[in-house]
Amino acid sequence: MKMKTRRFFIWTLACFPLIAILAVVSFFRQPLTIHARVAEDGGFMPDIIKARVGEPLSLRLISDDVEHSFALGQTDLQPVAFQPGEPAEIELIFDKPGTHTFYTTTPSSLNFWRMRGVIEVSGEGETQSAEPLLYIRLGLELDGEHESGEQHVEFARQPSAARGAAFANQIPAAILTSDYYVSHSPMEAFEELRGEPALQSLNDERIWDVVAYLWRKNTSPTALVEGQRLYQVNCAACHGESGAGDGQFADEMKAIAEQNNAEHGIQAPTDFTDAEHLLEAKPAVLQGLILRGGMGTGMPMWGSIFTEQQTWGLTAYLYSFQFEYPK
Amino acid sequence: MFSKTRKILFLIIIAALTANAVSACSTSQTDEVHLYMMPLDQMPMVVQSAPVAVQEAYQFASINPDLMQNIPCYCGCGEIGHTSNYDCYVSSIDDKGINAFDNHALGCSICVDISQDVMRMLREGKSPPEARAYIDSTYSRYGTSNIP
Repeated sequence: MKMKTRRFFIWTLACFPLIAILAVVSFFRQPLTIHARVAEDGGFMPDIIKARVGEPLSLRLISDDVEHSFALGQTDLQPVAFQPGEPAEIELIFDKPGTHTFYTTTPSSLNFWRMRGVIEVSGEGETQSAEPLLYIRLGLELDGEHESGEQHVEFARQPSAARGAAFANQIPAAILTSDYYVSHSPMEAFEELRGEPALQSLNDERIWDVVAYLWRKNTSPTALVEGQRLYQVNCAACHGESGAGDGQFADEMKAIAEQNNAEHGIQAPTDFTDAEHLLEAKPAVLQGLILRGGMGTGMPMWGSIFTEQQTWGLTAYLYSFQFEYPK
Repeated sequence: MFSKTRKILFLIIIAALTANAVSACSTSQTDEVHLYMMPLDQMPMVVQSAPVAVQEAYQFASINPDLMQNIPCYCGCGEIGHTSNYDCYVSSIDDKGINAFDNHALGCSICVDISQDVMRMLREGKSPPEARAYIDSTYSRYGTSNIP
């Protein structure tokens, strides 16, 4: 009897560590469940997730109300959509420490852009330090009135980069640089080119073609395609597919803006088809507004989501609402 | 080999020890510092109907002025006279100590992100100066601090 009792306790003590380890391992190997609800009802829950470099992070995505999606900033991961009753599972592995923002690309409500969370990745590796945005380095203002000339802009036909290319060899070298492009608005470029002796024979329409050529020269077909993709996925819900500021939430935003009647509160989405507005904006300012977001206007900050390269593609794409670029 | 009673006893011991081990591993996830928040029903209706992240930011900032007046904002609101992240939520306080709420943060992305980061860090046990340092290092690339 005593022998059996002793054997029983030896077995118990011997098995405990193994079973405990198995239990703990299986506990942590289960996917972490993230519930999603429209932002007004909570957004992503949890919205702070811990991960370690090199260790798989499995996520189970469950919608509690309408269709949502899970996208991860600064990565190539394509948004993963999931519906109520149809969870999705994904596995992520991070190769360096840092903080990643996850977000939705599905316009589930006016505040869908508030559906964000972070994955804090710890472990070995270098974290990247980001330098101040270009608009700061150039000493430009984001929130002031756009500097503009006295010109009233009304195009009889859309400025064409292809037509402007015919005058490429008459453009001063200083205006052809990327430094010039990022720090000048199309309107400023127009005014400078208008004063160029070599271009005196061209009418205003032709000068605008040259400006379109300059803006097209500072991007690439690949960047424009990526810019268009980002715009349609992330911006069109407010700014509209055609850029006219008439997306599905535009009316709600206009109503809030009128109700608040505040200069620095929520505003109606910018209309990129408004020539005077867009042509007075410097590329570095547009990029800064995309990265930082509006100052209380309802425009989200994308700095934690888009890469530097993506923001330049998106900025270049915005000008295509005014300029005709070769397909 | 073992009697039925011993088998049951064996399983109970293993289950109890395992549950203890698992709960010990998971308590660190919930061991958070409690934050003072203003009750939601004391907020304006526009805040009560705002996204939960925005509600929380208003609830937290408005009841922690000493802390949040030392946290900068980088949304550019220094241009409109804000001198801290607190000003994005509360525009003034009257003689009776009642807040006049500012609608600015309702439409501001960075303002709320900054407040949420502060809340997260305090919940994790970080100090206000550590939170301030994190905010400065994370957001200063986007603009100028509004704390003079």
